[in-house]
Amino acid sequence: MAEKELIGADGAPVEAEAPDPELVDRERAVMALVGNQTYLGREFLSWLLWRSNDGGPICDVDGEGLKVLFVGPLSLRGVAEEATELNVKGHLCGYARVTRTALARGLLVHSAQLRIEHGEQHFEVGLDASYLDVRAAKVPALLAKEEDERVAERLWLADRVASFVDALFAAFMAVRRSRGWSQKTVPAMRRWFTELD
Amino acid sequence: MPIISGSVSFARFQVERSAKTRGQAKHVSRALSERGFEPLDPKSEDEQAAGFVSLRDRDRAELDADDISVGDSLAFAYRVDKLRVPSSAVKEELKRFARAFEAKNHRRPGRKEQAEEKLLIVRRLRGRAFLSTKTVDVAWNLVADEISIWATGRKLVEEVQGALEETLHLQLRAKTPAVRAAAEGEALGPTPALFGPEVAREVKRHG
Repeated sequence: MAEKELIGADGAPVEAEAPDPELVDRERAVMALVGNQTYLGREFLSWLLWRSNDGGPICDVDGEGLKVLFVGPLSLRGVAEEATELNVKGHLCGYARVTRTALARGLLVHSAQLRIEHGEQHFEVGLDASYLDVRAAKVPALLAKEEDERVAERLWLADRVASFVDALFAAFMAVRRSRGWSQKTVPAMRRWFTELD
Repeated sequence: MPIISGSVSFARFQVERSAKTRGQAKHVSRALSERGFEPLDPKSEDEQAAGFVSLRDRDRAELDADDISVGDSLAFAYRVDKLRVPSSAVKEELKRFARAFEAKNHRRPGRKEQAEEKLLIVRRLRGRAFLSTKTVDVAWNLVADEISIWATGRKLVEEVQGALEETLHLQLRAKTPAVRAAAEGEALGPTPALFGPEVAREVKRHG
């Protein structure tokens, strides 16, 4: 479909003004928050980062505490003046001051790699705020020898990782929908974001 | 073959059953076999073939209950074969066409003319095409009633999702934050103190 030609007051064609790139970026960043309620996913991952800082279990699964540590690269997104995305690398970069400063400015965690500890077992999983799909997960070594049993064991471990993600999100939702969220939790998160080392 | 070995990455879906949904291995294997993979016929004009195959043997499309049963789950794969003409060959032919067109018509070919010629070129070069095969593993946890599609590209995940919904007469809801919150009956807006009040307002307005 042909674009409508703009005509000026003198009857001559006028070139349409190119949109402001900063506004385009901002609009894109806002719309990215709306789809799939990605904003909720980012609040979850940012809350989880803050909770994981004290090292204690986040919740219980099968009577055993679930501990989380943010390891490896992190992507933060949102709208912070002209910035809409920040990628941070480094083993425990989630806890670094540069990350916390970005969080304080409104760039929340969009994707991260987590180490999950459940009893004696350790897992790693990548999560993103839009879908909470399981990405590049590492599961404990298989114990089964026969191929059919190994497939079943691998599936079981994959389901296990998925159930841990569910448990962590459920723990977040319990806090998120409580009155304490805006009165206690968010102020505590913001204090940690702005804490000096 | 991610379920059997390699990277553990999958998209997660909650199953919503209809009156026609049958979750037993024998019914599922029958339905999958009806939509089983059939190789591309070199004589036909088709450029893509897709269908379900065994997890352990990607050339086998006739499935029975034993093939797909794994503990509390059902596991199988979705295979997509595409004929791909080397893009460098297509580009070369397109350049040749553009030069000949300009010499004859004293102007460069328009976008529509180039697109039409590209279709003809791809058809002509079919003999030089190579076959690209992708398989995506699928697992249906019958206890949690959850399906995992073991791929990372969203387009491919959605293609497999569509095939599963059609073949097994069910609806799949991606377990996104929105779906999870809705399942708890929650309608939560963004937190202004985390996103900034202006951004939170804009998100609420669009949402």
